[in-house]
Amino acid sequence: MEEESKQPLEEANPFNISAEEFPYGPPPTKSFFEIAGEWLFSILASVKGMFYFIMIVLGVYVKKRHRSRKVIAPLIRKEILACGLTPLLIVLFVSFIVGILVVGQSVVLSGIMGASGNELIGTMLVLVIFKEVGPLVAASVLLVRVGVSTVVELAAERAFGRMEAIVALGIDPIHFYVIPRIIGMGIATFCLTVYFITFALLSGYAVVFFMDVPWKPLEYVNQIVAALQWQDFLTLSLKTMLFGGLVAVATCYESLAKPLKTYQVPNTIIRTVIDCLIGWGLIEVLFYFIG
Amino acid sequence: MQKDIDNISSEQPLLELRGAALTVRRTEVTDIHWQVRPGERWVVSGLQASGKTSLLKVAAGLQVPSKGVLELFGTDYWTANDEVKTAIRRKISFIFNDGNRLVSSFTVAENVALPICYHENKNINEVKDAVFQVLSYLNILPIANLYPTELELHQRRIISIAQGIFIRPQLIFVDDPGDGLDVVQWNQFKNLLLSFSSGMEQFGIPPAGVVVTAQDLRLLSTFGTHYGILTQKGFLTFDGLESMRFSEDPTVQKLFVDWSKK
Repeated sequence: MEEESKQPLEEANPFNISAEEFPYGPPPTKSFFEIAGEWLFSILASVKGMFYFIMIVLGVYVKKRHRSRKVIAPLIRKEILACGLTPLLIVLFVSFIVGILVVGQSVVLSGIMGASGNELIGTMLVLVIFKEVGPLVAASVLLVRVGVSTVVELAAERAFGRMEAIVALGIDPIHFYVIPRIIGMGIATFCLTVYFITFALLSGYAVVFFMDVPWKPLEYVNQIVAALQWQDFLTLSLKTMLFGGLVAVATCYESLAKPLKTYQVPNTIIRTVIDCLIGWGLIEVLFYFIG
Repeated sequence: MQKDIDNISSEQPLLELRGAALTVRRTEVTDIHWQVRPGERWVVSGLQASGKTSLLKVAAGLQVPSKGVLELFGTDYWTANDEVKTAIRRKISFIFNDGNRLVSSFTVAENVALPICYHENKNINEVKDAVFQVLSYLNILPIANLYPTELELHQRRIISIAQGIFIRPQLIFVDDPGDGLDVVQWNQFKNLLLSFSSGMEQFGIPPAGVVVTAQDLRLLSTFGTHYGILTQKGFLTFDGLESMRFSEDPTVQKLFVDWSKK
């Protein structure tokens, strides 16, 4: 009888910890508004911190842009190669899929709409692939493939005290670690976006070819060229570099700006991804208002 | 200002702490007065968590003291501008105790050359011969193209020494050098520190001030010319081991007298 009454208690407390040994109990539960409020404030704090970080980085860049070029330039080249080549296959694969989907759907749509629909294909391609999807996909792949590993690498550098060692040698850690990454990731994102757009349009034409649409390559190119304006190239360049630069700023800010312990590294990755998503959203809004 | 740093005489202290204080795990060590001159070898000791590493970092200008003034090469370090601070940093070598502070994506040769390449805007090929000369002097030429993660603790510390030789420092800080080394490795490391202290003519290094921390004074009993002990009363300095023998401070007795009785 006694054993039966003990059973449920043992199940609930398998390690038999008494109330005296662990008097605290479970942590108090938070309401939805408390969680949402904390989340909002942490985002605002991140945005503010990143703004200050960008100002510091700009200050260092302006002050030291001509200094130690023979050390910093190879680091930038290394970063462009690493960020431009590592995610290239994934970018090409995604661009192949996007090209097939967008052009395939556009051809179907033009079939429904008749002759007037044909004229819309170029505009649709430029709008979807050139202006919106291209920069976003390139930056997203860069974040997942390179950004995350950069956060781990830099956070480890910080956690193991290598930043301190760099400072001890009289080297500015922002100049040595951050600036090559921002420039490298910005340029790499631009290159990846160009590859993405080119490959998506090529794979799109393959769809046109296999769906027996009577378009010659020149007509296809003409449609796209007609839908493009010179401002689109400027917007694309700025947007891609800002997207890529933001990935670099977020990775460096989250991993370097604050003292870190090794167990905090996984959380740093999550915060970096959130920072990038919010930042890209803000950049999109900015470009929407600029037009 | 740069001139003042370069033209420091052998009588002037390379490092001077005046009325400095540092916080170590909620307790504060106050009223630190300390001078280090060229050719002096200081051994800083104390009990576990007494603040040896913090004191070393404060003295090397890597940590701001909670009070007081730090003068390096006759210049108030924390009020100096960035240019002067960089000039001062180039005369200081700091060897961390874990030896794991090298740039992980650089090879041994690149790590050794990094400070000079950065400050003098040179690429590795321009300083390659000089780097190889230093590496062969330290018998580590075969590992020149390896990465720090492929090395043992002792080798990583020797690379820090190589970096030190390359920047020609006048003040060297070494945090707990005996930790993790066997007798042979420790003797090699100690001899290199002694060479710094007497100067290395072949590399154009003048006699430098060397400051090391040690948990166990036995390892460094023949090394130091001066000793500094972090106690509950503050930072006590001694000119040699003999002067420590008569100290009535309980920490000094624990560190020195108890050991000498054995």
